[in-house]
Amino acid sequence: MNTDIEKIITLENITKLYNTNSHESRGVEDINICAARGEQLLILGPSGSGKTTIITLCAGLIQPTKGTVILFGKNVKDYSRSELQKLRADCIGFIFQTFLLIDSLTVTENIKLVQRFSKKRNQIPPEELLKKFGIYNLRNSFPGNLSQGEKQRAAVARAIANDPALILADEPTASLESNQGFIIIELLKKYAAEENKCVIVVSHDLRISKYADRILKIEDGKIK
Amino acid sequence: MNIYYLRMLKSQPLRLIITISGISLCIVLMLFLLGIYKGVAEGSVEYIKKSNGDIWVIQKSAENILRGTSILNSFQLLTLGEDDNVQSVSPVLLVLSTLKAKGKSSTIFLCGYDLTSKFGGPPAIVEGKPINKKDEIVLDKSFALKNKINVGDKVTIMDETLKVTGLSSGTNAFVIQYGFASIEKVHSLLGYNDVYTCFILTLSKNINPLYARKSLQKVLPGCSFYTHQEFVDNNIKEMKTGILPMLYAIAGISGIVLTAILSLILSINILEKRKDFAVMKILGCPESFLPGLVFSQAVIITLLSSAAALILYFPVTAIIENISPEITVKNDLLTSLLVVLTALIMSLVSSFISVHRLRHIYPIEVF
Repeated sequence: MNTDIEKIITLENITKLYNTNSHESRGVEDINICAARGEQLLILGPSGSGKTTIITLCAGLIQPTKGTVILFGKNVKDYSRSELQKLRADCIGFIFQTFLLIDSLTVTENIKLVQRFSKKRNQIPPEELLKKFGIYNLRNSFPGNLSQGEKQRAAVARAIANDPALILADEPTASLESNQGFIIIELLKKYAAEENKCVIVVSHDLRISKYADRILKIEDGKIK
Repeated sequence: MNIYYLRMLKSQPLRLIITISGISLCIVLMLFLLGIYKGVAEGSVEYIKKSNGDIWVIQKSAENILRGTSILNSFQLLTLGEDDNVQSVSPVLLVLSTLKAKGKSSTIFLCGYDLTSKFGGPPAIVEGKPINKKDEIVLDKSFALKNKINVGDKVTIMDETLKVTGLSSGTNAFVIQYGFASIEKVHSLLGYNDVYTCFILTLSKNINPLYARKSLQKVLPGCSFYTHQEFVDNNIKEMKTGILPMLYAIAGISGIVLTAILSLILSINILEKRKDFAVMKILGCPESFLPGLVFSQAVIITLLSSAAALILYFPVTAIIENISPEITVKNDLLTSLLVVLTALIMSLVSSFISVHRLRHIYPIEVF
């Protein structure tokens, strides 16, 4: 894998079908997406439009039924299980809709956990990340004691803790008031631009469109 | 920073306490059973070990006195006494008897022995004094405790009254305890004078026991002759085959219960933290990380349980011994370490049983 290339991810003619109880349902159909370093790509669409399918395809968590996913210059199908695990640990950061911080670990420990999974050297000290996101005073707090906004900042800090080339954010503003949501999106955009990283955000929230470098609209599993 | 497993355990303190209690009780049970075994192993043969003759003589085909029938007679006693290889012959008569004291009846292994040679008598007197007269008896200490009999009390066997002069140790064979009286008294109680269970021989100076045995076998073909060590070994073997399988079976069940409790708790922990584990998989945790968490939890629970068990064990044993004095429990450091090691192995087995659940946690569950 080549983490220095400009094109971080390419989805070529991707169709994903799910088989559940002998019933076949469509996740996405014949979609093409490309994302490069330095840009924040927003994939907008309503619930059930296939946004989560795209995020999981981008992370190599599922394989497409048809088409090719090129992640860091290599077809996802050619990665072994352990290579994909290493890729996620070293090169991809995740932000989830409901934050999904580990409740039994402190904010600092949540960040350290990701850094432990990554074998990268010279990782940013967790305290520095927390200062950057203005939650240093909460370093020893458990997620259960944080507000939604604080949780989201901690989640973003965790997502960039391994200095990833790609950040995948699944509905990052869904659990937040609009003001806090905008702050997060702005932070991600800044991160993409200043650190030359690729950020892919999937959301149904039209209000964050103005912060994206590029917008793709998805509906019924197809890019419009 | 692999403290996640500690945090997982701490997040459910009540469950942790219940788990540790359950497992520590299993460990206490295993320690207790091994302690009983050791106590029985020593107690059952202590009497034989301390009756330090050169050769034991019992009826042909009999190998031990714990669970064997041996009937010898006066002719054999006289014949052995006349043999040049033999310096002295001490007869012993063992009979199961009902002893009555303070309105209560109990069974005792009554041992009649020769008061002159003292071979076959109580190995150690811990209270009072040995018997000197025909109407006296020495009882096993735990038997006396169980039946609330004190030195100086009168007891009845077959309508005859005997005075308790002392209490002995090393005479508790777990299921039965020894009592000691003169062989003449036991003969009179039994109503037969011409019957013995075994003879303890002291050989003449410089006579090799193996040589003497060969020679004596020719003289008395109806008897079996064993060197002291052979006879001790025979009785240990008998005790082991009689009691050990039962103890092993209970210890095995205890081990299975321990494994089941631990497997259940680990599985519940995994299911409860399913989302956390799925998130960790997405974040790229190495494949060994999550099983490592489960193993670590199992080991921590087992070590805490072992520590609790070792703390609990001594007071629990003291209470049991107080309630049932005939139960003699003996443990040593090696046995305790062995039990802890067994518990750790069981915890690893539990981990293996639980770990397969991790494979069914899929990262995409969190989306």
